[in-house]
Formats: sequence, structure tokens, C-alpha cells
Amino acid sequence: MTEPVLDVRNLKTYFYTDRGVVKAVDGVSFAVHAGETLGVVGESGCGKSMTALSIMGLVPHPGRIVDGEIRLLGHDLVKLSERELRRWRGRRMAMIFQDPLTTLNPVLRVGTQVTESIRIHYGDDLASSRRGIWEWLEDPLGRRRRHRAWERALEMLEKVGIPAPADRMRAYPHELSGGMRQRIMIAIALSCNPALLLADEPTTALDVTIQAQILELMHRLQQEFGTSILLITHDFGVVSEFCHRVMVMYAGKVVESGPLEAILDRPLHPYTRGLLASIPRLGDRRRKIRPIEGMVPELYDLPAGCSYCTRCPLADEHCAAVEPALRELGPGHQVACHKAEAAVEVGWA
Amino acid sequence: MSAAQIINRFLQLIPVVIGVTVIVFLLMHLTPGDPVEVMFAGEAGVSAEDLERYRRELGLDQPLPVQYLRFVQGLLRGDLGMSLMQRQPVRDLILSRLPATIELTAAAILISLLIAIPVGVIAAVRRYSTVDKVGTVGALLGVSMPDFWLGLVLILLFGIHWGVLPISGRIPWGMEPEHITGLYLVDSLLTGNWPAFWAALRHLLLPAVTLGTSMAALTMRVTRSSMLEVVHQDFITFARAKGLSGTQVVWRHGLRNALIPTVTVVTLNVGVLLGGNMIVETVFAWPGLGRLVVDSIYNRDYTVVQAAVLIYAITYVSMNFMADVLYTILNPRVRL
Amino acid sequence: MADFWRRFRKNRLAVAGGAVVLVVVLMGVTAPWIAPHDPTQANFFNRLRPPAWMEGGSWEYPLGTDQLGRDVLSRIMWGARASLTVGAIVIVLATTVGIFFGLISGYYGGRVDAVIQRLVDILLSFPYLVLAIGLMAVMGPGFINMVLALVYKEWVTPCRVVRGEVLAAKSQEYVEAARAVGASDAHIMWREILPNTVSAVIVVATLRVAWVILMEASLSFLGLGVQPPTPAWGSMVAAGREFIFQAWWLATFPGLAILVTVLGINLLGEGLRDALDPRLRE
Repeated sequence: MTEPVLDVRNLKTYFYTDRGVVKAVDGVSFAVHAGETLGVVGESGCGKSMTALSIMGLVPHPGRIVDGEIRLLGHDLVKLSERELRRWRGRRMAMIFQDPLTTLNPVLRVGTQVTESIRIHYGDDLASSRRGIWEWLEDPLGRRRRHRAWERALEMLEKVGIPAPADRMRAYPHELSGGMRQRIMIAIALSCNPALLLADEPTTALDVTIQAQILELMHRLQQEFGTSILLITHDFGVVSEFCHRVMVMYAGKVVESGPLEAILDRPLHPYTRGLLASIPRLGDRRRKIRPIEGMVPELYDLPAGCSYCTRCPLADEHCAAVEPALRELGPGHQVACHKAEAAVEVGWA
Repeated sequence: MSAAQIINRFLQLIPVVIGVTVIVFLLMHLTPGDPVEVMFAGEAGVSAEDLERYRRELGLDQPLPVQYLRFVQGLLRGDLGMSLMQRQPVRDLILSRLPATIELTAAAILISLLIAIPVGVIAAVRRYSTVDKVGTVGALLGVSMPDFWLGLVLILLFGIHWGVLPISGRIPWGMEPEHITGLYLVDSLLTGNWPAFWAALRHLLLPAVTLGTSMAALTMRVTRSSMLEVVHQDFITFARAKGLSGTQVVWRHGLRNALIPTVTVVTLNVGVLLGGNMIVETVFAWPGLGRLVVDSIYNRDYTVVQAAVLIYAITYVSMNFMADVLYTILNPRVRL
Repeated sequence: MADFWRRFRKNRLAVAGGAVVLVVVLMGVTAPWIAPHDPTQANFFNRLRPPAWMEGGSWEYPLGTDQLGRDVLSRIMWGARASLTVGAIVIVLATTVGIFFGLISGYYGGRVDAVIQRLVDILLSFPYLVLAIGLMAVMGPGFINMVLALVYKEWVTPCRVVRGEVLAAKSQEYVEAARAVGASDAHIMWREILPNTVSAVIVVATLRVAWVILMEASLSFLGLGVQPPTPAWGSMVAAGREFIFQAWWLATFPGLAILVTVLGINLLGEGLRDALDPRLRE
């Protein structure tokens, strides 16, 4: 098998706050292969967004990556300096966020924001073959360079299905609809043809019909560009339509991961089953929607053993005392639960 | 903002400006005694008939509304009345003093923005850093400090103790550059008169810093607090995710947004600057409009005071109008 | 209330500001007893004596003497009275007027509101000190005229704050409820709405005292405010300006007194704001 595009090993991102150390990401390992979509699922606060920000090297203060490796295309991003990392951001890895209204700068025109990353990363390609003073003599105001970036941006807006892209380039974000803004974010993210796209709840803020369109668009572009995608969501519906593999996170740790079909058909972790049971399905009146009881524990004081034991219907003293390790219980299917086998036998999913 | 909206906003100014002229007009009629008495106070050999004749000449025998209309008519013609003491048109007096005040005020605004905006931005981006702490304490001192006292302390230190900067006037006598705009810095630059430029700059420094301090303090505080809000927005993270450097993100994406509230607060505080103008010009013997007002008060030259108050108010109103226009330019989400 | 006190006490700067204000107030109140000298007593044998720690100074006059031989420290202590009295009277009057107009403006809306707000707009068109100086110029200098000149403009601030609060409160259910049971307008304004504006008014009034004291000092500096021989900080600085080459302490110490007092009030006010009503930040 070829080397994965992204290979994260034992990633630990901790926040040092007045109230103690918060282990937002605590020893997470996973890989994303070329052209593949990995879904990261969990409730809010489980560390899935922080995992993405760690990959981008944008962990906010007072957090930092304390341990682990993040290998993108064979390079360990953790070891790169901020300067080098900047050349990677937007070019080899890009990220899109949940709310396109707050993610686009309200006071800058769409065109400015789309061309920005193209100009940063493809600055040289946009210019002529001449260098230095000769280039400057040929294009003293950078007009030609700017024009090329503009052309490329237009092309991207067309690709993401924006009608009358030339007009949209001159608009401000608030003048566009939510779906349109999300398309523009995708255009910005893919404008430099990154190897990896991190999508943090890209459809959560949108209407259901628009959601489907955006997922469809991402799917089409993935085929076209061969981008690997890390899709972060709390919605198993989105996952089941779009992902090849799934990773379920709880309290900063991976509790289960595996191929999509395996997870959907044979969920091994009680938490995964809880999540699956809590989605309403159309035309399935027999199944009752079962919300997961209890609250996500405070990340300041996690239980010594399995962090899910406070909410787990199967938990016993062993669970509370000993932390379960990830075990492989099927082809590529891993789970961190002492009761995985027992759960399958009970068969209450 | 479309032209129609600007015109609409402009039309809203009219009632305010009319109100301002009414108040300024009434100010004159609160004076103890009337202008004619003030004019001839202490002069021997003026009979009651003479006073009466003057009153008629100045229209002071007419009812108030008529006098107000005449006052407004005069204003529209650019006639601000006669100075009671100097016996020359108030307009000429004011015009001769205006360049000095414009030069001082512009320099004060420039200095305060040049200090306050970078410090405010850095303080917000590097929160709890030395810049932040020094800036915050400095801003607190700046808003709490009476400007006349700050001026005197600067005079004591730079003028007397170290003796490095001049402490009064605009320029040494006889060094004035050829009159083009009346702004010494501009005129000396245009005529290439470097000694005059240097002298004018040295004279300008202390008064401009004194006048600009309180404004710098206020501006720094607003810039800092609005920047603090901006740096936590999603679009800042997204801009960083595009591969922009921290500096590019702060100045291109952050500042544009942070400036929107700053502009409003800064222009509201231009009023503080215009008032402080009188104080600072008095402290530094700066021959501008503020000094003229203070002198005229001592001389009971009410027409000059009246005209100057009017000019300050109109300036303030028009600055606020410009701020509104600027606000909509900076903030595309707002359409008036 | 306990919650407010806990939050306020945690803010060390605010507590320090409060302590400064307390000291200045005590100094002003007890000046007749604690001031070492009569503040108006000229003594021509002791003119322009420097502060105690300098050559030629003595602890009899800790901060030196002025051009008439009066003790600078005693004059600063008495000067606190002028500043604090003007500050307090102006703010009390202005707040009373402002609350009245703010309440009726916000409550009745319509034409009453339009008239009051136009007046507010017009007053806001004058830079603060410019209007005060213009008024003082025609009314003549003096204590009462200064208070009036400052109140003419100062009431606008509490008026706007109260009007805003009233507009917010008017749509609340408790006001609807009071109206439904047939309470009179006066009752609703006084009993239902006003108590809800109290914290905002207190915060704004405290912060504005600092501003009024600065304005009083500026007017006194220009010779339009408190008249000699009554000691006031602003006029002391103005007198010190004449002797700036010989006696730096004359202008420096009274100005420092203004700075410390205003700083204290600002810190206290901001502490109150953060503890009472964080919405009021800018």
C-alpha cells in the first residue's frame, strides 16, 4: 500500500488554563489516504476540531501540541517552523469552516479573498518567466500578476458552480446566500489544489437541500482534483453519504474507527451505537430515537479508566479503573472498549 | 453609500446647524449690558445719543427675531460682524488665525493616530505583553491628565530642564515663510525654505503632542478593544489557514474591521480636541483661533467669541458628517 | 449585590481607585483642620520657597510656597474642595435633569422624543469646552456660572443613557403587566422602569465626575472658573505658569493632584462598570 497523504501519530494537544490542563486531543493516531474521505464524528467538545487545527498548526492560545507526529506527504508538520508551515497552509492543506458568514471577512470583496491565497502561493507561477528587476520592468505594478490571479479565481468560482462569477467577485460576503458563501469558501480552499482538505462541519449551518448540494459539490471536486478529505461532523447522516472510513472521537480520544460499512453495520463501541441510535431516519417508525443519556464529562477531570464509563450502560468497576486500549476486532476495524465483544452479543444496537 | 444617501444625511444636518446658530445668537444676548456699551466702556466724551446712534446702526434696536435673521443673512454672506475691540471685521481676524490652528490640530490628530493605532493593535494581538501593559497604563494616564498641565510639564522638561525645544509661538520672529497657505510647514516646503521648515516643526512638536495625547489615549483604547474582538473571529483563523502571515492577517484582515468602531469614537472625540485647542494654544502662546477666543474673552470682545464658537461647532458637525461617510465606506454591511 | 461586591473587590485597580477617591474626599472635607497653613495667608518673607527636599526648602512648607508665600500643600488640600464640590453638584444636577428628560423622551416617544432629541443633537454639536467657555464668557466667571455652564451640556449624557434603557425596558413584560393592571404612566416610569436604569446611571455618573473635574480645572486654568483667592487646582496651575522658570513646583503639584484624583475616579468608575454593568463598555 502506498504511503498515506496524512499520517497522524499519537497527537497530543493540551490547553494550559487557570483551572488545569485540558487534554483536548490526547494521543490520537490515524491516516488519510489519497483520494479518500475520513469522517471524524463526535459531540461538540470531543476534540475533533482541535485535531484539525493541530494539523493546520493553528491551535489557539493557550493550547499547544505537546507530543506526536503529523506527517503530511511525508513531512512532519510538528517540526516545521511557523514560516515553513505558512507555505504549507492553503497550498498543500486547506481548511473550511462551519459558518461561511463569519469565516469570510465582511469588509473585503469576495474577489480579494479568493485571489489572496492564489497570490500568496502561486505568486511565482503567475508572473512571467523573467525574474527580479526584469520581471518588475515588464510588470511594474504587478497588474499582469494580479490579472492572472483574478483569472484563476474566476475559474475556481465557475468550478464550484457559482453563476455570474465575475459579478460575485465584486460582491461582499453579506450580499450572497449561505450556500453561495460556502461554495466560495470551498473555491478558496481548493484554489491551490491542496493534497488535503480539512472540512470542519461544512454543512451544519446550511439548509438541508443546500447541504446536499454542497456535499455533492465536494464529492465531484474530490473526484476531479483527487483531494483527500478529513470531514469533521457530528452528523452520521453526512458521514454515511460521503465518507470511506469513519473515526469516532470521545473526550479527546479515538474510541472506534473503521470502514464506513463496518461502523454502520457492526458498531462495536457503545458510544458509536448511541450516536447511531440518536439519528432519526426517514420511513423507520419502529425505531425509537434514543438520545445518549448524561453529559460529556468536564475535560479537566476525566475518569481514570474509560472516559465514557460515566455514561455507558455497560460500564463496571473495571471500566472505571482501567483505560481500554484500541484493539483490532475486524479488518481495519478498531475499538477502545473492554465490553466490545459483550456488546455485540447483547446486540441492542 | 450612494450619492442620494450622502445627500440625505447631509440634509439632516440642516436643522442641527440652524439650532446651533440660534444658540450662538442667543449667547450674544445673554451678555451683561449690550455690545455698544462694551465697545465704548471707559471712553470719555461719548454721549447717550452717540450710543443710541450706534445701536441703531448695528440694528440692536430691532426685535430679536429680526436681529436673528440679519445675523443669519450676514453669516450666509460670510459676514461675522465687527470686532468690538479691534474695530475690524471678525472674519478677517479669524481667517488670519485659522491656519495656525489647522496646522496644530492636524499635527495633533496625525501624531495621535500614528501612535495610538499601532499600539492599540499590538496591545490586542500580544495581549498581556509589555506593549499592552505600557499602552494600557499610558492610555489611562492620558485620559486622566489635564492637557494644560501636560503642556507645562513638557515645557519644564524639554524647554527648561533640557532646553532642546522652543516653548512658545509658531516660529522665531522674522523667519516666517512666504505666505501661500498660511500653514508654515507646507509653505516652507513649497518654497524650499528649510530653516523655516525646521524651526516651524520644532515649535509645533510640543503643542501638538500635548493636544494629541488625550485623543491618542482614547483612540488606543478603542482600537485595542475592537481589535481584541476581531482577532477571535473565524475569518481571522480562515485567513491564517490560507497561509497568510500573522502580520498580513492582522493588518489586512484585522485592522480594516477594527477601524470601523474606531472611526466613530475618534470623531466623537474630535470635540475634545477642539476644546483642548484653546487651552493648548494658551499654554504655548500659539497664535491661533483658540488663543484669539481666550484673549477676546478677557477683552470682552463678544462678537469674536460668538463667531469662534460658531466655527468650532460647525467644524465639529461637519467632521461627524464625514465620519458617517467614512463609516459606510469602511463597513460595506451598512447602508444608511 | 453580594455578587457585585465580590466582583468589584477582585479588581485591584478599582479598589485602589476607590481608595484614592476616598483619600481625596477626606482631604477636602478635613482641610480646615489638617492643612498646616491658612491657604490664603500671604507671607512675603517666604515667597517661592522650594519643596522640603530641595535646597532652601523646609518641612514647614512640604511642597514649597507660591509667589505670595502661601503654602502649596495647604492650597492643594483646600483646592480639593473646589474640584469635588463642582464635580458633585454638576453631576447631581445634570443627572437629575438627564433622568427626567431621558424618562419622558424614551417613555412617550413621538413628538416629545423628537423635540428632546433635536435639542440633544444641537448641544452635542458643540465641543464640550467650547460651549462651556462661550457660556462663561457671556455669563461672567464665577462658581455658580461655571456649574450652570457645565450642567447645560452635561445632562445630555445621562439623558441618552436613560432613554436607551427606557426603550429597552418598555417592551419588557413587567412594564406590559403594570400597564395591564392600570398603573399610571408616572408610576410605571418611577417605580417600574427607573430602578432598572440605576446601575447604568451610577456607572455613567461616576465616570462623568472625572470629566467634569477636568473641565472645572480647565475653566479655572483660563481664569473663568473658581476665582482667587479661593484655591482651585486649575487656577493654581495657571498661576504657576507665570513662574515656571523660577518655581517648577507651583504648576507641577496642583496638576498632579488633578491627575491623581481623575485617575482614581476613572479606575473606580471602570471597576463599577465591569462589576455592575459590563454592557456599558464603549
